[in-house]
Amino acid sequence: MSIASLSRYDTETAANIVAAAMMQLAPDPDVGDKPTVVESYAHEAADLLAELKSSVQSSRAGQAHPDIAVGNILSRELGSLLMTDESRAEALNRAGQSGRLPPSLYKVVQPSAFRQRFARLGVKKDDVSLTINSPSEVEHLLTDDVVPEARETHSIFMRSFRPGRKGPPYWLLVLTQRLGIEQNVQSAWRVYDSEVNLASAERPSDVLRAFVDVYGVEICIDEQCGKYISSETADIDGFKVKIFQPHNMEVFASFAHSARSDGKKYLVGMAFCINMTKYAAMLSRKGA
Amino acid sequence: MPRLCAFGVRYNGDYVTGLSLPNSAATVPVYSRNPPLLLWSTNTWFKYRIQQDFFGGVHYVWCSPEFEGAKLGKYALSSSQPPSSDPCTIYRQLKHAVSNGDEHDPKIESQRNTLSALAQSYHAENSISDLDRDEILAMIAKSTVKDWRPLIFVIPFATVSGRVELVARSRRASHEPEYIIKDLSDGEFRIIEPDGVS
Repeated sequence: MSIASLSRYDTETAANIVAAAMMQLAPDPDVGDKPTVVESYAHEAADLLAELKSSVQSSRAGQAHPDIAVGNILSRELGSLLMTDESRAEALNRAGQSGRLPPSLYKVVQPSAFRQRFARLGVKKDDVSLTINSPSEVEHLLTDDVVPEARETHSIFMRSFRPGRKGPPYWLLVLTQRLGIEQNVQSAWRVYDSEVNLASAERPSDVLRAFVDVYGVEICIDEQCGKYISSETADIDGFKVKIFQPHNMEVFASFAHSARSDGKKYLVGMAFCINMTKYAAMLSRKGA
Repeated sequence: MPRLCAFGVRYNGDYVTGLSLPNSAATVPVYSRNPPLLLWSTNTWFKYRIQQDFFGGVHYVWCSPEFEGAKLGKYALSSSQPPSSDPCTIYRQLKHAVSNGDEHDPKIESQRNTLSALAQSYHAENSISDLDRDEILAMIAKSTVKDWRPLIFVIPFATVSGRVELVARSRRASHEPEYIIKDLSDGEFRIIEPDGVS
């Protein structure tokens, strides 16, 4: 800890005093009633604030916004009291895996296989990163309270793009797999509302279903068949995949599986198969 | 001479005027005959996510019966709402800070510091775990200015009428009414983000 006057306290007490001092700076926190630490450590917090305010008076930041300058000192102190660089990284990984991390903090990973496949469909690397880090909509498919082996780790990001003279507006739909703070991109699709009926879509997964309804072909996993199979509804015991692919049709199949503790495989996220020939023809018409 | 309100506040079943308004928050709002259709509140995206993900989806909001007091007639209620309490002004200030990448905007800094303090405080009260506290602190430390972009909450009054609390005058920025809803939950409000993401 860098504030000498706090050295007489144990870490948790020092952290509570710092928190109480920070709350005293905010007359009304705007996020909740004042917690009990404010009362419990009122004197210690007041002393700490007086000490810090006198030391920031001479600084430029302190003159402009003295309370903010003191608040920042306290915030840094709180962070250093409670966390190390390792614990901070662990915390961010946990938040990222569970889908709680703000989109801007995810690291976007675009594997070479993804780039090779989708670059020729007009999907730009920067557009994918922008969609993930600054989405219009995001949906994290997760079951945080289910046993780890059954957790879903997929995310769907959407962002609106308006190319102007280069073409009509569209939604870029990006599907990823989360691993800590990394979003590993699996596929990226342009969804034009002139081609896909989005009238009843309320969330990105609805948009994906509507898109697959237009461009999908049937996929079977064991006895479950359909254009779109969700692990929420699929009752899959083994994992045999069948795709009905006519001649002269290029397809892109998306599915993921993991293994239970008994060794049996199960579907993770969703499974679908896109008629790439039909999709590419549509993109060509749109000037993509 | 205290300002005499043009309407009464119903407190414990009796109509009282602004002259005898008790200091503690009344649990029934000011409007006796014409309650507002909507209440407005401007909050940051990050605060919204923290309350959604870590505090059980229960939102503590300050709100106003008008979105932009300056647009009202001179003598209308809320017409002289000060900037610090006016949802529209707060929205514009935050939007300006975010658009200009001003990570040192006082409002954003204040919320950042307050949320950090609350995370430790709630942990001290055993309201959240140490893992959740650490996640909140780590995310705040790493947050970008865009994570503090403003959101407008639109709250149908009828949904929350029994739980809206009039803020005591000593805590308000002016004589204009301000309200607190301590337990606003999903489904009771809609969010507007006028300019979308940038």
